[in-house]
Amino acid sequence: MPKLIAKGAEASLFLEDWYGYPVVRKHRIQKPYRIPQLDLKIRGERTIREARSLSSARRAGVATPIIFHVNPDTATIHMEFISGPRVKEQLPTLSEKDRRRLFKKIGKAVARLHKHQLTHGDLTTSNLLLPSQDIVYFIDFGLATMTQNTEDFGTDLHLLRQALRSTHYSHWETCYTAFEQGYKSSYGKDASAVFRKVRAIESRGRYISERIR
Amino acid sequence: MIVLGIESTAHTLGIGVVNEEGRILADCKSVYVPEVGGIHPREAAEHHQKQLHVVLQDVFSETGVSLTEVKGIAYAQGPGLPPALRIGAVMARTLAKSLGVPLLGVNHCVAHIEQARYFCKAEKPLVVYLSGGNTQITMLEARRYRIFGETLDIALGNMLDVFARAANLTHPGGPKIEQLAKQAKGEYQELPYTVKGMDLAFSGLLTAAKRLLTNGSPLETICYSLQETSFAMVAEVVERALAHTGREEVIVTGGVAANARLREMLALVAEEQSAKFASVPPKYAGDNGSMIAYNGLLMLHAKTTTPLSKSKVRPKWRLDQIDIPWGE
Ligand SMILES: Nc1ncnc2c1ncn2[C@@H]1O[C@H](COP(=O)(O)OP(=O)(O)O)[C@@H](O)[C@H]1O
Ligand SMILES: [Mg+2]
Repeated sequence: MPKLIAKGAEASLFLEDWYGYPVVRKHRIQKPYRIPQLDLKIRGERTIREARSLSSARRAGVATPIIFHVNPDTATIHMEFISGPRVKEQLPTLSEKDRRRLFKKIGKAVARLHKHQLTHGDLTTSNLLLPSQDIVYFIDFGLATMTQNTEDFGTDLHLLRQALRSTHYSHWETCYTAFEQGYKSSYGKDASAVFRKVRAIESRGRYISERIR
Repeated sequence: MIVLGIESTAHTLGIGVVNEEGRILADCKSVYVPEVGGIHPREAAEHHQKQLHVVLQDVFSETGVSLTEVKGIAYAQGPGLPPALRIGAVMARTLAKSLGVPLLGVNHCVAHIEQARYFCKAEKPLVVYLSGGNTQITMLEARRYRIFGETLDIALGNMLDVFARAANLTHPGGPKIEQLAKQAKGEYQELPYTVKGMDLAFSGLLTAAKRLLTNGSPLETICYSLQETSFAMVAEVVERALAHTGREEVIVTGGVAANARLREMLALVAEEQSAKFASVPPKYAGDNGSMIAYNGLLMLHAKTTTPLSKSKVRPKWRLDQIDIPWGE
């Protein structure tokens, strides 16, 4: 009997048996709020995008669940079950030192993705799993893109920064600073160009006085 | 005891009055409609200046209250267009000084949200704030509105307004687009759909919709496609924010909240995530004076009045920069 383990924003996730191996079936369910044309397209596209990017990320040296089966028509992916908490729940329980260590590691991993021209597209602490102290799994690649554009890398960082500021406001600065250190150590000297983009993105489009006519 | 509030951040000059419990006693306004193109800050300010006394008259004839009952003067201090903001600020300072009552500098975004929470009777909601100048998904947590998602370029309402003008629809464009969309009979034209995490972008969508216009696609079809695409984007990020935060209530406010199709979509999103949904009454979705008055009341209760030395307008005042003493 499949067991519902999570109801995410896009998908329902079931724990199932795959020839004796525990797997997660991620099913992007139909959304009643959007019209069928749009709904089908989004679910199909995201499924393919996620399956591809989970593999690309893995090739880039970032831990992701192994894929067993993909079906864009039903918008389902069968993937390795990763047993462990999400960073979202784990973060508040960690010591300051462990938090720093963790986010340095996350920074290095994201830089590795970017060096392989891959963005994650939805970097929040809900999409990072911690099966053990030393390994962070990246999941939920439905919004990932292949790109060489610094702007896109900056957007990835901005999304993480925003998620930290809003969800983990007591710790966000420590986490983000450690993240930047990790990112820089792996991405190299061009990291500062990405950091500049983050600032540019965040000063854009936010004020009524800048509305276009 | 009553509080008077003045709104003058953009198109609307609004003056409202609330009583001690926050009930609205008056809500009067005069809206500046540009003859051509978008809002011209100086023209808006001139309009507000001319209409101040008319609208104030309306308020007092509507409520029957007298100035002596006023125990605080609230005004929208920002964010907004500097020349327009200044009209409200000058009026507020003058009134507060002559009546000898505290001045209350209100953040326009917080005011929208607090008024919506009041009407929706929502304790700890996820707030979807969609207007001509702002597009934000936010939540009050530990005395601050935390921003989970927002637009990376232009606001949703701004996008709709600009498109409406390109299509030669008369002001205000939002309701016209909504009407036309209803006549489309389900013909959908694909438009760019841009969601980044919990953030959104609308300028690509606007450009593509304008292109359909010049290519001669039926206006009804474009309006329908524009709404379905942009609202689905909003719905998706709202769902993402609900899943990420686990909040059990979601409310919508800002001018675009007056759109019935948008409200319908958000209600369905809430259902998907087992959350309750409520919207600000359409009458109060847009800019109004009573929301400023109500926020002023909250500030008065929290004893956070604005000294004259700190009463300058703040055109770029961000929602997440403000301490919310009632949001413990
Ligand atoms: N491979 C996996 N192993 C274990 N748990 C998972 C796995 N994939 C997802 N989950 C759980 O399901 C939740 C939602 O999955 P996610 O892929 O992020 O879907 P959504 O796009 O709906 O957010 C995650 O936050 C996580 O708790
Ligand atoms: Mg997720």
